[in-house]
Amino acid sequence: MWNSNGDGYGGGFGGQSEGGFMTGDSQFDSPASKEQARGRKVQNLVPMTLRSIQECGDEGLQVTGTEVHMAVVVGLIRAVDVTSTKVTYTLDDTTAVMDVVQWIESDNGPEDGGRSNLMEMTYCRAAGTMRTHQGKRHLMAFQITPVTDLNVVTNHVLSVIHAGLKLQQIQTLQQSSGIGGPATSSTMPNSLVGAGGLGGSMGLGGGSGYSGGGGGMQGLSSQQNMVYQVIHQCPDEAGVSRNAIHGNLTGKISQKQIDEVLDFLSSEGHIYTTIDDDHFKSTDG
Amino acid sequence: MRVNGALLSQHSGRPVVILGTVQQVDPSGMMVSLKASDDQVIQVKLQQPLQENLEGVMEVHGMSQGRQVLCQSYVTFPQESYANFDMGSYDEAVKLIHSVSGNPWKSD
Repeated sequence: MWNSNGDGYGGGFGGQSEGGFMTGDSQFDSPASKEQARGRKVQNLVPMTLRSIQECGDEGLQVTGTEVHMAVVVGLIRAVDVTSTKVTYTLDDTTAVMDVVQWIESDNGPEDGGRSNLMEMTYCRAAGTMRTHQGKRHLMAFQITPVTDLNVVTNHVLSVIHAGLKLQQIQTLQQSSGIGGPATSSTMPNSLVGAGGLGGSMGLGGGSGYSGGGGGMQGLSSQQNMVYQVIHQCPDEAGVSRNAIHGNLTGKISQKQIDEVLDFLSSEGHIYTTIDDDHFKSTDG
Repeated sequence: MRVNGALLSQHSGRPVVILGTVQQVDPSGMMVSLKASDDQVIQVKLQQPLQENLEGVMEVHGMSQGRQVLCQSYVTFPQESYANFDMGSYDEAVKLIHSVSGNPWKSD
């Protein structure tokens, strides 16, 4: 139906092919979070160590299981190799040594002077994506700058540790609240009561406005809920008689209150009378 | 792995990186006294006599030998880069590298 050629559909569709198709894709959203992440490319920049980059599996960059799009590293330049098309810096950040490649744009002739302060035995910061070439991994940097203040080094050490722990925290929060989405935005601990399991539990004392999952109805007080549950659970075709309800709930709710609740429930439409005014059934099957 | 003065002796026989301020250079040019980030003074043994006059902050890469480090390479920094350097924070960072479990800086 949602074909990629928009021309057949005239106005109001914007005529976008791939773009429109992707957003229209939401009806085909599969529950698997991995596929969601592929369709909506994860965009993040995470401080990492060269060793973590090297040790990532073939799935691409990851930090404790969270997909990483770009990494920033700080390390010592051990070697510089300049060719006509690119400059390769061999970077050592005390955990591993890796090549960082920076492609030279052809019209950047005079800019070469700026790059020469990236010399051997100086610290630099590089940000980019991981690429594998001829079996070897390297970082394709979109930006490499020299470190002018040593505090940058301290900062990077701390950022890496922080990022690892933070991503772990986001993951555990997402798992515990039952969402399997990609960890992109910052998370507030989910304040909703998680997957119900309250299934009509009657253990609540007199709380009003009880809204929950499970078997309870929304907006009923605990008393109303109790009466409703008794009626709801009665398998009898004729429903449950008023006296039976009274008997069931003696000690918990007074007869007068039960009657009031019954009036309320029937006016709300949750229950209806059957063979006579004293037999009730619930409207929800 | 980055260390400070106290941690240096704990990693004897392993490759370490230690950053500190130069206290004194031995007249032979083969030994340097370095005050580490935790204010402990450690000795740096060089493989070749020093060619330059070292001062300020330097970072030594080498093998730990107890209270000494056998230098394989070193990095010196221009004065501007360490003028505002917070040695205390660096020391804290080094301590965190060794204490936070499962962090990517630690090899074992």
